[in-house]
Amino acid sequence: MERDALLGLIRNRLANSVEVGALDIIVEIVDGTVRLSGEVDSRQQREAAAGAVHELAGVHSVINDLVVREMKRPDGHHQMIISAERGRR
Amino acid sequence: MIRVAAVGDLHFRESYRGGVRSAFRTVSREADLLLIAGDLTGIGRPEEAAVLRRELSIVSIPTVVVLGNHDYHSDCEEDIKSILRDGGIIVLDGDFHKLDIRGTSIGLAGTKGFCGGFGIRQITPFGEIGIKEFLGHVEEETEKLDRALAGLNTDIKLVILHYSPVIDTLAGESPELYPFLGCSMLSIPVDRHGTDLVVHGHAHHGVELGQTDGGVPVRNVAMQVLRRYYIVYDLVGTGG
Repeated sequence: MERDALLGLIRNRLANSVEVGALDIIVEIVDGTVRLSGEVDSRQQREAAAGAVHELAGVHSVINDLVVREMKRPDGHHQMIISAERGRR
Repeated sequence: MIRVAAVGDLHFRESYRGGVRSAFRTVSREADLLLIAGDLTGIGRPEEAAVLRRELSIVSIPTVVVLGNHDYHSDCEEDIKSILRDGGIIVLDGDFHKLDIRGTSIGLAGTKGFCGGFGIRQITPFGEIGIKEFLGHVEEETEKLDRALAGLNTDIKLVILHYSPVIDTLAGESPELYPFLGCSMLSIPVDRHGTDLVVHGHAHHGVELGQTDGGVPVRNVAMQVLRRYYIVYDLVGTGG
C-alpha cells in the first residue's frame, strides 16, 4: 500500500475508534513501521491507539511513543478579568 | 465578582467513567457557573453523552455548554443535546440564556462556530460551490451568534464557542491548521454587541490568552491547553 494511503487509513482509524477518537495523534511511517506520538488523555486511549493501528493491513509494527497528558489539580486556580468596561469600548 | 469556571474538549469516553465526577467534585464551591466549550464527547455517541451527563450531575451550579465538531461526528447531535438537557445542562446553539447571580444579570450566548481562517487570509466565497457552502456554514454560525447576543441586555455578557474567533489563541498550532481552527468572522458580533468574555476550545496546542480587535478578552479553555479540568475566571467590577 502507498505510504500516503496508509497514513490516511491510520488517521481515519484513530479518529473513528470509539476508544481513541483523536485527531491530533502524530503518525509517522517508515517501511511499514508506524510511530505514534503526541499526547492522549488516558492509558486506555494510548493502548487502544496502538491496537487500532496494529491490526491494519500494511502495518508491520507499531512504536507507541504516545504519552498520557499530565493534569494539574483544577481547584484553586483562578484568573482575574476586569469586566464592566463595555460602555467605554 | 462573578466566578466563571470554564473548560473545553473533554472528549469524554465511557471508559473515563468516574474521572469527570472526581475532577468536578469541588467546582460548585469555587464558581458560580460552569461553561463547557464543546467536544464533550469522544466521537459524538449518545452513549458517551449519557454517561457524561451522569458524571456531571455532581455539579450543582448552572452548567452551560455548546457542542463541538466531535459531538457532531456520529450525526447524533440532536440526541446529544436532548440527553444533556434532560440532565439540566443548558445547551446553547445560536440562542441565549440568562441567569441572576447575587443581583447581577448574566447573559450567555453560544454556538459551535466553524472554520474559515483569519484576517486577510479568511476564506472568500469565490469559485466552486463547495467553497461557498463551507463559507456559508461559518456565516450561518456567525449570524446565530449575532442574533443570540442581540437578545441580551444584561450586566454581563459571556460568549461560548467551540471554534476560535481570534488567531491569538492558536499560537503553537501548526499554521496549516489555522483555517480549520476558527474564523475571525465570529469575532464581529462579539465586538458589535459588547461582550465581557469569550471562551472557546478546539485548539489543543494553542495558548489560553487572546483578545478580539475590539479588546474583548478571549480564552482558549481546551483542557489540553489548561492541563487541568477547568479554570475559574473571576470577573471583577461586575457587582454581585
